Amino acid sequence: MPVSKEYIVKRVALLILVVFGVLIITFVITRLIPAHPELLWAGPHATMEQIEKARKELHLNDPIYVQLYYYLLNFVRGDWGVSWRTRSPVLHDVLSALPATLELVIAAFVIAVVIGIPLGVYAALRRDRLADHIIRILTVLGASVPVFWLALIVQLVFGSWLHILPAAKRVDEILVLRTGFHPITGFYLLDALIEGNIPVFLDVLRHMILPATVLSLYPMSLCARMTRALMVEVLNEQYIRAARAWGLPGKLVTFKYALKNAIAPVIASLGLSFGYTIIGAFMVELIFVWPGIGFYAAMSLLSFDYPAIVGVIVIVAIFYSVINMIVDIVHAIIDPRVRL
Amino acid sequence: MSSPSELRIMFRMIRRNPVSMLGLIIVVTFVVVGLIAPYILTRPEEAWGIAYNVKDRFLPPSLQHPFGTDEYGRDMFNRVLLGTRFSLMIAVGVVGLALLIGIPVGLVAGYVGGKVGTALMRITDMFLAFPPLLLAIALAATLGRGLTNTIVALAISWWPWYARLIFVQVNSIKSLPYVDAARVMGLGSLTIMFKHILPNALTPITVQAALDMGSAILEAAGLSFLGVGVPPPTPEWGLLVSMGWQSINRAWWISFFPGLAIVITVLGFNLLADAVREAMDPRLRKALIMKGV
Amino acid sequence: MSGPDGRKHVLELRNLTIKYYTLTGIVHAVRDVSLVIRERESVCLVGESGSGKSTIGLAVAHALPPNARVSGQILFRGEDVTRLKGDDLSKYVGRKVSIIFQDPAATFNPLFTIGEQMGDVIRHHRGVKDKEEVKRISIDLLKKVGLPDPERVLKSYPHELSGGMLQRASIAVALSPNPELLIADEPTTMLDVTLQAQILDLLTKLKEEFGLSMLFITHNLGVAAEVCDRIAVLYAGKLLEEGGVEDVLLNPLHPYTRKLLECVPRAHSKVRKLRHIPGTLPDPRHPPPGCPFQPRCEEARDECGKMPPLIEVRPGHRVACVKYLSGGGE
Repeated sequence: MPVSKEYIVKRVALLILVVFGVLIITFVITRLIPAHPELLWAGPHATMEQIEKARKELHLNDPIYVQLYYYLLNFVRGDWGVSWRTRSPVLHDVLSALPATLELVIAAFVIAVVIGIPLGVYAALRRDRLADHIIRILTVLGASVPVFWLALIVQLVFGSWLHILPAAKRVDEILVLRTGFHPITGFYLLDALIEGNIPVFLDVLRHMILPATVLSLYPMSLCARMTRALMVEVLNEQYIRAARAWGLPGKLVTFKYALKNAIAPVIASLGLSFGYTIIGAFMVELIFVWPGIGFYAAMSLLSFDYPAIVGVIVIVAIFYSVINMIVDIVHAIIDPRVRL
Repeated sequence: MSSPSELRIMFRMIRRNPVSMLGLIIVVTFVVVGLIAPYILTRPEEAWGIAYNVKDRFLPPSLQHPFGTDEYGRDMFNRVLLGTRFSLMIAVGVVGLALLIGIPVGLVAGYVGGKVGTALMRITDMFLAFPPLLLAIALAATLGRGLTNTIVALAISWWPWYARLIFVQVNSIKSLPYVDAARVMGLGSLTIMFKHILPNALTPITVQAALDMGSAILEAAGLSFLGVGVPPPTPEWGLLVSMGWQSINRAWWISFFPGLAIVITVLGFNLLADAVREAMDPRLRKALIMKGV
Repeated sequence: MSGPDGRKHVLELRNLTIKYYTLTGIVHAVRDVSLVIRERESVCLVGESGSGKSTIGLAVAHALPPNARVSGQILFRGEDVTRLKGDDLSKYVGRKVSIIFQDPAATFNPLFTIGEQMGDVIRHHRGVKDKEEVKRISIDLLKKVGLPDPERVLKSYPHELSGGMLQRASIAVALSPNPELLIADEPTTMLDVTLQAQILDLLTKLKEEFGLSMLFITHNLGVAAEVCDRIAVLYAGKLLEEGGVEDVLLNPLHPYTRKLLECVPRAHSKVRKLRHIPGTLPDPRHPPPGCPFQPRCEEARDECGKMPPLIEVRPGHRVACVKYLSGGGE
């Protein structure tokens, strides 16, 4: 069921507009709201010269629309400022940290969907019985737990107390040196497979289990809850009752028909939970010392590294919008009524 | 407001379901404790963070210290108890402020419609392009730490949701026949907006907002944990968790109990939210089976 | 069992009572209804909204919502199908009995093409595995229901087709397993008058061609007159009158039936005021004992407080009214 080219073009155009809007809002927040943006930009340990330099770079002596022009120009050109903490360009920092986060978030979502959807379907089929109640309480619980707290507890119990799984970092550095692992894409699992480096592959996997599972709790709960609610709703729809009345077997009706009807909004809600999960990744990465964007962001926040903070905000917002666009397109592929 | 029979049905549903009753109990307890917390503290100076008790550092949970003590010897039970007050303030503040900004925007955009409405909604959409906490983090980082700043930062990242919700509601109510009837009768626009459209649009929003308070608490805790929310020594739950982080290996209770408080409180709101959502869904109501008639 | 003309009973309802359990109380939708449908006979269930007619249709098709409770018996060719389960259920539902619904757009799953849904039904009931064969059967059926471009319909999604086309398609799907009984739940209510006539003609034609029995549910007496052999009048869950369609419509026995007929505007008379029956249906959660029409009936008497049984006043024409209790017709 291919989607029309016009639809995709429309969505991409919308994406560009959204990114534009994101940049404008961040401009307002980072330039217009603070009384002295150059102080924020230069950092807490800046000298008078550096502050003056920042002033000129931000074009603070010029009217607002000029500032905005240079602001947008810089972002598009790739000049996102320099992190005075790492002393390297923010864009470079951000892009090199991105794959680690993506790997973690994708793993978390895979866990969330693989466990969440079947749970939701099961609860919907056993509606109002014990299994349903238990699952519903668990999903509500899962959505009520603060990610950072859970991460700390899990790290403590599994890492420090039980010593089952590694509780920090992404990979064992010694193993990397010994096996000569050289990441190409930044996605360690992929790189390890490409190089045929099984020890590193397994090691990265082991390091990933705890943080990915902790991160997956929220989207998993949301997924299970939405799947259940939608399945219940869909199973009551006339077209499902009609399918049953036509004598089609229960399993076919549930899994081929009802599930497809329920899946589309579930995918849409996954896009929404992606936003929360990204923020959750900030905290999980911080606690598990996972070298991704979240870790970079948290470190920047702690040291008031303003250019880095802004860079992270922008990249995450852009990413979020891209994910939403993909979700919309997938939704349109599944549900033919949406393609307008 | 919903007709009496609707409310009755809603309460009946909540009462029959022990799980939602639990939610109601938790929420009521939370609000009550939040209101009276400063007056029932047994060790107020420790709770507020002013006093230190160097000889009682890192004591595990016991009868005198149900939640143990922290690295300054302060009783954690008192701190968590006082933290309830701050969570309540944040929850009410964030949701209240977000409603205050969002409702007028959505109302005007929905009722006036046309170019103004579209423009307002475009602005709202731009805010919605950010993942939920990201904007709050950006604002909090810019404004600096503090209770008010945290509330403002969260409220600014939240109002677009309510604006959009009200907008949709007003749009659908606007085209209902009785609004046209009011206009034909000669009632002025403002009157129509406030007396007829607003009350009906408000009902689902206010219920939603009250139940959103749980999420507000969760997000504020996250901000405090990252260091851009409420500063020490305020005993906000998220901050308490982050402060217990350094000593977590020797004193797990410092981070554990404040986090547990968050879980239970937010759980209460979520359970209630679930029950209310089901009660308000007319289709679900019809399809429900009543056990033991 | 067979009737006086030797035609076997296809469907028999014995003391059928159906209740819905809702949060606001128990709704007594159908109360003690007994009815028979014979081979190649079409019976109309006529009544206002809330009379229970749809509920009966859904019950026979095993398509009731989960909060319904059925007591009494539904017999299909002598066998009790009221509480079927498992394999027996799958041999009955959709195969011996099929149903078409009021809203054709809601009957089809919006995410699948007509062809896919129809194909599933054919594959399941007729055991046909070959894709080409399934397609051939589908096209054949779609032609029979009068759809001009069957290939296109098969490839279309429900929202791409009009109400009339969808209703025809749903008839095709319902008839694909060659059922013996077709239940039509107000199939023309949502269509405009011209389409209505076409669909009714189609159903009459198909009934002959497939040798079907039909349970036709409608609130429209005119429709009933066109399509049915016998008519059963329902009010507030109770069966008030039942007989051959001409008998009942030309010589109505029950006061309610008479009132219904009076309300139908005639083309030739000068209508000054549209007539209606004053009063409303009783609350289905608290049905009164006795005849439910009593509060609105002009001929009501004290004896109406106790519900009379159905009495055969003329051959093949039964009525439940105290007027005929003492025996003999009018």
